[in-house]
Amino acid sequence: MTGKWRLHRPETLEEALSLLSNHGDEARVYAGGTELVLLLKFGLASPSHLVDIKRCGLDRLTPEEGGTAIGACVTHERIERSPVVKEVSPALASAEKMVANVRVRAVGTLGGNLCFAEPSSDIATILVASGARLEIRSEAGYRQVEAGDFFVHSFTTVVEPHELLTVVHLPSTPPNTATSYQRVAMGERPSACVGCSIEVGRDNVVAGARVVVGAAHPTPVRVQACEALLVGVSAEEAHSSDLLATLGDLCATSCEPVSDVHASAEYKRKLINVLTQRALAQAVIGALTHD
Amino acid sequence: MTESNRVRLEVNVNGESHTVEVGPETLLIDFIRDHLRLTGTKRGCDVQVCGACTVLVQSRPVSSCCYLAVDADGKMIVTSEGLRSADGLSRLQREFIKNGAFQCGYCTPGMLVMAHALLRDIATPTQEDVTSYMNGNLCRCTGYAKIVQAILSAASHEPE
Repeated sequence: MTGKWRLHRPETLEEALSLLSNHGDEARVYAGGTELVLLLKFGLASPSHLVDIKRCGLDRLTPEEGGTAIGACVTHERIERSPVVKEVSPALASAEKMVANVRVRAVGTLGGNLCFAEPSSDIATILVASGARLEIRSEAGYRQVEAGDFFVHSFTTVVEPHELLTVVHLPSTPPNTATSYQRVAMGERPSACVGCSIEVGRDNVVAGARVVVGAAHPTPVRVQACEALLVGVSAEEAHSSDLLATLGDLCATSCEPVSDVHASAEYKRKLINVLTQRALAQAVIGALTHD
Repeated sequence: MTESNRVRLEVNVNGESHTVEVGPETLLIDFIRDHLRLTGTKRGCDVQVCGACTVLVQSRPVSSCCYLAVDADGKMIVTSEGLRSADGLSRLQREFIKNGAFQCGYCTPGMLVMAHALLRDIATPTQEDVTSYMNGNLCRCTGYAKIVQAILSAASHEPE
């Protein structure tokens, strides 16, 4: 491994925040390391300090009022298997099962995935669709950011060098609401992925919709034109093949995927079209059957 | 690294305890292969996608090529050398032999360690469970069918 760095293993969150405050730009936060160790091995990151946050109490997964608090150091595997998460957000549990491979899921953390901010992050996509709120702390205090506002660009989030993502607040899916996640991956990372959340009102009309496309932009993106077409239509129409075809096409044409070794931009658009239709159908039907 | 940045590591590997001081940048695969001379664990891709370097840490499968040795402090590690019992090869190992589930053998230690984790996680796996769980372990020789068959046979509890 290239470069020399000092390893810090603080035993409290306060200690970790103090280290980040002091070392700021020269430090990288280290938890599971499933992305960071790769960066260090290839010289793509050259910090002077690694701040290991695995002993700072950030590995709790607890129900809270209105949802679930998931600590930044909770592994993908724990989220995938959590009965609490399966109950409040089955789409997140099933998305977690798709991340990379079993070994990465056993070691990699929720916070690490979100802060690495890879454009094709499964979890970023579903959390934006779920309306999750992210808690960011520093020595000075803390702030909460909606998942949709957390990602700035590829590999860039709103977290400053002296700050730390500590907890993800996942709202419970209320009755008559459902989230869904669909993806196609040639290797470990999706070539296209879509996350949706649909709320059906008492009059059987769509009252709320979030449609998020991942892996097609530098960050996950809500397709607001698609959402606008959904709100106000009957639930039955919302999963009719005609409207789904329109919405799938709308998502596909509004996205700007990039050709790569796995798939051309044209093929990714086709994938986005199909995945949008599947995710929406799944979410609408899920909302109708979710008491 | 300067002496003051070396980290004390206490680890149990295949039932044996070891206490050493390592630089924090030491990778688990290098600690296992170079320091402990357990060369069953293989370096394949070096970027955690091929699974040849798989070991168990606290019963969980990890890519040792991308795992810092210091993170194994206080933990139990099982490598491919540790899969057999005092009585002999494990059922999985015997099924691999019986089913012809390896050719060059390079991916095999990782496959076996991973498969051991699979059978602990899923008591009666379906074929789809096996291919899904093992999808992070790559083999260039066998075409995978016999590996899957060996794992299913080991899970079946049929008499050997």
